[in-house]
Amino acid sequence: MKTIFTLLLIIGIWAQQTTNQISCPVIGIDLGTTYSCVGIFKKGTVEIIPNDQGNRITPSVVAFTDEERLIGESAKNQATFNPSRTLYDVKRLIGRKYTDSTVQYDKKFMPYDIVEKDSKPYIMVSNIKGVSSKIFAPEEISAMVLMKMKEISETYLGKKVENAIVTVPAYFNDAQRQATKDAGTIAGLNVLRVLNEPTAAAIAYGLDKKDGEKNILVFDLGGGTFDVSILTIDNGVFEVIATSGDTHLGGEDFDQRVIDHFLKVIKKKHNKDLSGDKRVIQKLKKEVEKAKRSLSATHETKLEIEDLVDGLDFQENLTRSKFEELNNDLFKKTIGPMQLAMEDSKLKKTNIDEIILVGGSTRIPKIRQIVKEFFNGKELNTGINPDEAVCYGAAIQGAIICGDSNEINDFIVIDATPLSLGIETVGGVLTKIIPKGSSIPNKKSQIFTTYQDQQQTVTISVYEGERPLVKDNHKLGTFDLTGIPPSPRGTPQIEVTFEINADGILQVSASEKSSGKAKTIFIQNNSDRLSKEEIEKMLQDAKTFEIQDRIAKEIIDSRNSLENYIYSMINQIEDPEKLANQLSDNDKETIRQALKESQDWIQNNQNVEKEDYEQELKELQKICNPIISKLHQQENNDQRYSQENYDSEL
Amino acid sequence: LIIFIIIKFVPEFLWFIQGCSDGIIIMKNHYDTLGLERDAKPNQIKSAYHKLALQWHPDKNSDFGATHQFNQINEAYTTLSKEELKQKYDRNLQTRDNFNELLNQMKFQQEETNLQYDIR
Repeated sequence: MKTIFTLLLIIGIWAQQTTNQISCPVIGIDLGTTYSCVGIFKKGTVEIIPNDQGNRITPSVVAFTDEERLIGESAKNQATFNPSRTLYDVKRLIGRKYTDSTVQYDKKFMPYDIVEKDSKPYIMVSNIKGVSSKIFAPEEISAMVLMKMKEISETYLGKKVENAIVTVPAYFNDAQRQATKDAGTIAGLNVLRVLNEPTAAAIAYGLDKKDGEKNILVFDLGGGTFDVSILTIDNGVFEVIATSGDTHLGGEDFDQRVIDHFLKVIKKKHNKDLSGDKRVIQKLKKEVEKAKRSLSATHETKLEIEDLVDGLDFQENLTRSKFEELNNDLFKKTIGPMQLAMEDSKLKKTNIDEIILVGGSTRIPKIRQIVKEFFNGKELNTGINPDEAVCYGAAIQGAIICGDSNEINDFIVIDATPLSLGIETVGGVLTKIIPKGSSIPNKKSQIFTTYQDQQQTVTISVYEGERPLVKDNHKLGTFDLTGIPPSPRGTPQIEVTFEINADGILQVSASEKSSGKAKTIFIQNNSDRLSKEEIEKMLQDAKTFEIQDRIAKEIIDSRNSLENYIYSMINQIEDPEKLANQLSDNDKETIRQALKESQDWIQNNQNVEKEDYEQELKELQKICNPIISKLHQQENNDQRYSQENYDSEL
Repeated sequence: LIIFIIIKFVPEFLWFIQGCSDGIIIMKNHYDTLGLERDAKPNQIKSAYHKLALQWHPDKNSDFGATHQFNQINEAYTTLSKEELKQKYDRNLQTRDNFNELLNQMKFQQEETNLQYDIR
């Protein structure tokens, strides 16, 4: 007893030392399928941080050009010229297996190449800075977007940011959550929490609602995923009581339907099959997305694309009712998860106090109508910004964790597991250990035994899902527990423990109890996950890319300063109000000649190093500066007391 | 120094020992965990859970073992908030109580016998 006590003390002291407080700032990132957003809780309120273009949301797009890597707005803007090297919708691939039906479906429509590696989908990009091709894990591409969001917040805050909350769809499985967390690591972020998107939106909604108990339903339909969560808010406690969804349903699917429709129209009218032309599809996609947005406000809109292909000008009308007809079955797919969540919550429709709409696709009038009809005409809450609510909530959760503010001291979020978790038992049956809807963090143990005499090893296969047989569920991982003392079947007591942390990520351990020698094995890496080494390598690659980006930027900067010098010089010598009348024709000609040569040099040297531009600038200055300064000296002699410094104007 | 460590850290473990050795030292049931009477109504159970969760949730409490305590609270609430689970649990609890009562009665009777024996 005494030794146990001492041991406890030692553990206690060790634990005291290792629990260190998380330091603020903690940013909140909504890593969306199509757009991402970053926010920070500051002085009692959330600030959504604008990007370098002044926009509060940034496209989750990464592109590779011959010269550089682009992330965000600049990547999206060049998508139509560079379709096979513009990567978007990567969230639809992250944490999935290559053979997943959704991956195979997406592969057909994505303009970039999806290839198989270690049974996972990777993205192949050709021709990156002299390298003929390179493959990226979806985690790496998401990491680039996260890095961009980190950079946006660092610019705004004026200091390094290390800690972040990253949101995921509530219906994401274990592998998808792990992969998102890994993306954060590759981006150099310490992801403190993987937070469910509808939960984040509920926090944003409920922050100022402190009195009384309320049941709310969050309907979150974004660019690529759909979630429904039902929560109870009670005096600062946000408890998720049911959640459901579809990780492959959103605005992108609606766009695809419209694109397909127009491809058929073109085929019929012009007898041209353009379904394999990536540039055409990108051009259509851009226009269709715009049309979809405008149809939320108007009943009819016109799509116009000049020179869609081979001089063909595309001009079509799209009505709201046609749009609804094309997507009717997809829109109706939202009803099932709503029904399921309601059943799981054990609430009646009339018990729901508030219905909150989140995600850009909830602007579609037909979607609103479906939700409203499902709740027998109940008014919907559209008071929160559907694009920013998730980001807003993530920033608040960040402040809750780092204990930033007194105003949010008495808030907690108790989330729930979206899917049941269990292990395979005799006959391929899934025995659930943690049922869906269990609150997290959570820990549960169950005792199992052997089914053969003298069995010394048991294989523990961990699954996720609701179906009774394991073959219909999603496998998370497997491990062996060895060294069970030989004994008749049914005698060993094998305790299997499932522990879910606050991120919703699972850890499984098993031990044999009857022998007295407990042995514990943890699932270090499940089959779907990147290994530590892979993550480490990707982290290095990410740093290399960062350096390359910086070099590319320096090259552009140095070229810009050379060009700027040339243009300001031209301006100076040709403008009569400046130096045009003061220079001798001879000097003017010398400068003109030098500038012309430099301009030609730039034309012929598009891809040279920063040093080359600097050298060229120096040489040009060597010719021009003496002439200009000679002029200044003369002028200074004329106006001896003038304080003007012309050099700084150049 | 050892005394100092004991004074500083032992109180934080007291509940831990209670929780770990559930059934050995103290028979702590789910109602005890949530600080409730046996006849607590569903809304009382819920609000007790929310109050304790605010106190013990790992986001709010970084003490060693807070997660363990939170898990206990969770387990208690999961059982008591679901009608069928609660009924089953209440039946088991009743059986245990009856058994304890029986045990006590037997002990009492034995003591009485002992007493009679002593008198003789």
